[in-house]
Amino acid sequence: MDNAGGVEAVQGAGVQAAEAVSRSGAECLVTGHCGPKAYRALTAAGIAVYTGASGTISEAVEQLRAGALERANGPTVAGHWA
Amino acid sequence: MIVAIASGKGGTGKTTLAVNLALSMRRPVQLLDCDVEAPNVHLFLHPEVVGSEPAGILVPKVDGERCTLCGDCGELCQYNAIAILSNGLLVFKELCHGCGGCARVCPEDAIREELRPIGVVEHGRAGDVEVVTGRLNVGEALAPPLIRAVRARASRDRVVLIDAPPGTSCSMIAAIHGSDLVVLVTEPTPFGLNDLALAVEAVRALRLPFGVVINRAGSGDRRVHDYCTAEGLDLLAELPDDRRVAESYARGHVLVEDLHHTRPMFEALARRIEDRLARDRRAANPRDVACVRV
Repeated sequence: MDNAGGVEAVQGAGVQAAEAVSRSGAECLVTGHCGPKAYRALTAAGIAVYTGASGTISEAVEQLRAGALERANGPTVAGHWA
Repeated sequence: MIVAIASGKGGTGKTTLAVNLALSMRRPVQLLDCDVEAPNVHLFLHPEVVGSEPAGILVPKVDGERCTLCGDCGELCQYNAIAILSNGLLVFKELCHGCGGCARVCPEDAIREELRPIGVVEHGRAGDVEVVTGRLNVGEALAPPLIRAVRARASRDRVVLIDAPPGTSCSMIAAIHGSDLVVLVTEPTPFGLNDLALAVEAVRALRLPFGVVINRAGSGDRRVHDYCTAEGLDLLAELPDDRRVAESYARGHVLVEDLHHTRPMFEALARRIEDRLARDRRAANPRDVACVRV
């Protein structure tokens, strides 16, 4: 998925990424970390956030299917202005 | 007349200059503390505050009944303050810069704007000097709207002195924009020179008349002087490096009252500034000169 808009954003890159995920129709997101604004947007969009994956993308998908990933119940890192 | 006291580098003496100039001008003065992230004029002048109003920015409030999730507002927003999600819309008020564009482009008229306070504007008096102070709330990242609210209180019949925030970013620009003269305060150090050059670039880009004051003259080297000569800058004053000044400042005293030997220096600078303003005004409006000649 193209996330160039987020990369170039002066602020709100997480919001932008969450929008893109929501637009894609995804039901869950596997990520390294999730900041407070992205988490708020993803949760509002009904998207579950999972962390703790390792290896390739297909391995991460397997880990998710196997229930080996941890579901985040809040942002995993603080915002830049916190 | 609006005179902004600015600098690239912080800690060069903007507030010291602004406060002591305020007490050295011949006409009544209003001093605007536009360094809203760390206002400090009040520490020296101790104004009696007679009023305080919240200031902020207008942020969108979306009517979910009317919103069709068309995405026009989110598309327009350059600050990602509006997230268009598959099942709804989310506003991040803390990212909004208050431009109002979202409300304008909404085809459903679903967006109202509401005030989000970011700080307060206090006004009062210290003797003959009117003092207006902007105070940004802790944790806020966006200062220019509050600076504009302080600027909006600028007097029409007093000499307005502005204590600007350091740097050359949006806050500094908001503080000095539209002034009749910008006084750039610097110090004779490599850091002072580097940031002075940046500040000169900024005021030149804004096409504002400006001059330079070298504070703590004699403490560093001659490179700032050389730069001013090479660029043909108007060197308004040199204030000598003086330990007694630092001590007086650290105690929160006003130099022209505490150290009498500094008074002629600030009065001379005030005259230089008044003369420069008069000269610029004549140059901008030659018909005034014709009238004087008649």
